[in-house]
Amino acid sequence: MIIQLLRYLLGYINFKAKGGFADRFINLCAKEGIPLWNVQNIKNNITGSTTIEGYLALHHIAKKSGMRVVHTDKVGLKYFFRNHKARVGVLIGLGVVVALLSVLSQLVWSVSVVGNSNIEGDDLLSSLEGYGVKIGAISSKIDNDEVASQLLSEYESLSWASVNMKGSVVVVEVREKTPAPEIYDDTIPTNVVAGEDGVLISVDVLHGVEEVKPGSAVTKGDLLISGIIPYSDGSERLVHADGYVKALVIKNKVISQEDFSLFSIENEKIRNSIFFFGIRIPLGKLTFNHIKTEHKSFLSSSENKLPVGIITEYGAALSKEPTVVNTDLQEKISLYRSGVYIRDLLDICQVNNVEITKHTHKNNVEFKLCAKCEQEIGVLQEIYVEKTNDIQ
Amino acid sequence: MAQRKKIRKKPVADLHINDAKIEMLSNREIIIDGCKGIVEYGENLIKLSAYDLVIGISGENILIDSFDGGVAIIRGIIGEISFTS
Repeated sequence: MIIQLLRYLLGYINFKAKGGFADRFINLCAKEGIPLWNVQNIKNNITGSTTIEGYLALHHIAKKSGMRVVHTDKVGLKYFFRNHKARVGVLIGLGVVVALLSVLSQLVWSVSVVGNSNIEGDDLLSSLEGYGVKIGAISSKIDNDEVASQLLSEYESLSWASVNMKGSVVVVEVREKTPAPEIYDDTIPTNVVAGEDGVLISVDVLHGVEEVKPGSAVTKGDLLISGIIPYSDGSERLVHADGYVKALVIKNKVISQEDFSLFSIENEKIRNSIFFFGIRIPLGKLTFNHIKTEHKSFLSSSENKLPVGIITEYGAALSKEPTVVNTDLQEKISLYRSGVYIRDLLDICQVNNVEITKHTHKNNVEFKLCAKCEQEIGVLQEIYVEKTNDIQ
Repeated sequence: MAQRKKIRKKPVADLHINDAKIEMLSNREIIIDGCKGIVEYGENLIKLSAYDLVIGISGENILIDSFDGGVAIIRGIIGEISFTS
């Protein structure tokens, strides 16, 4: 294989020899040191191959052995370039492709993070970009251990990080720390007081003295569970009162057009950019930046996303003055905001019933919400104790 | 006992210095070291002189892959090898 490659690089000539004495011809070639290979006798015609220098000396030997030599083919890199001299563009293109492939194989094609659950992958990727691990970076210049230690020092919640390079693909594996449980300090004496107005549904005392019964109405700040335990001898002990106090709470909310302003989009523009190995080539200008979104579409193979694609940016400018909204649109917006308010309520309590009433006054739509909720209203309140040194 | 030791000390290669060495790879390739020249070269028969022997190789599609420095490599479907002195 290597010999064949060398022969191709140096060039060789296939020849045909007719008449005379084939055995004498080969013997003389061997004696003169002319290399011959693939010598075959086909119907008394000798075919074979020899070097360019060998072929020049072959005629003299052929004459001695009564043969006539003609070349049938010239093979080699030298002849390939000579034959394709007219197609310079193809040869240049071939050279460019080879050069481009050798350069691109040195670059990072994709960066991905695996193993993160609480830390956002985009945050980690932007940090990695700061350390030089990004699409288009020279892979040999990335110090894997250094990047891993920088990542660990930046994110305290990471317990382990490793930067693995598989060809042109960088995979960063991370492990997050398991957070230590919060230590509950139950040595501080506290009361449980009402955090909201409401009617009590249930009172479950874990520690302390129950001060109110289910069914009673309480206002914000009322004592629900006392942290002062009295004894029969008249003495008292301070404890960390705790328990679950559930109450029926009514929450009122007014949603009005006056709370917010709407601005219309006056100018909008779309700009495309070519993304090639981390280099972004914008095709045009994008001047309106009040609203800016972008959509990335990359070329992809079966599994991997290639670092070549188009980024489409959308930019828009808003009107200077708020837009006057008609009642229909106001109603729709207010309904949407009501829904958002109820959704947020569901995070903190159980909503039993919501009454929505609409009022229209001078082209202004107002929604009044009255939500009946079951909510945990107990709030810990510390009992301040003044320490004295009168114990003797 | 002493005579026996003398025989053993004689280098083995010296015993065969004027002999041709023949190596075969199945019936596809034959390498002959110690080849002095080609005696006959036909379409299906090549006769080579190797010291006091003439080695005849016959078969199909026989070609001389190389013949340089007394080493001949012959390829093809080798059917028969004959030796005449």
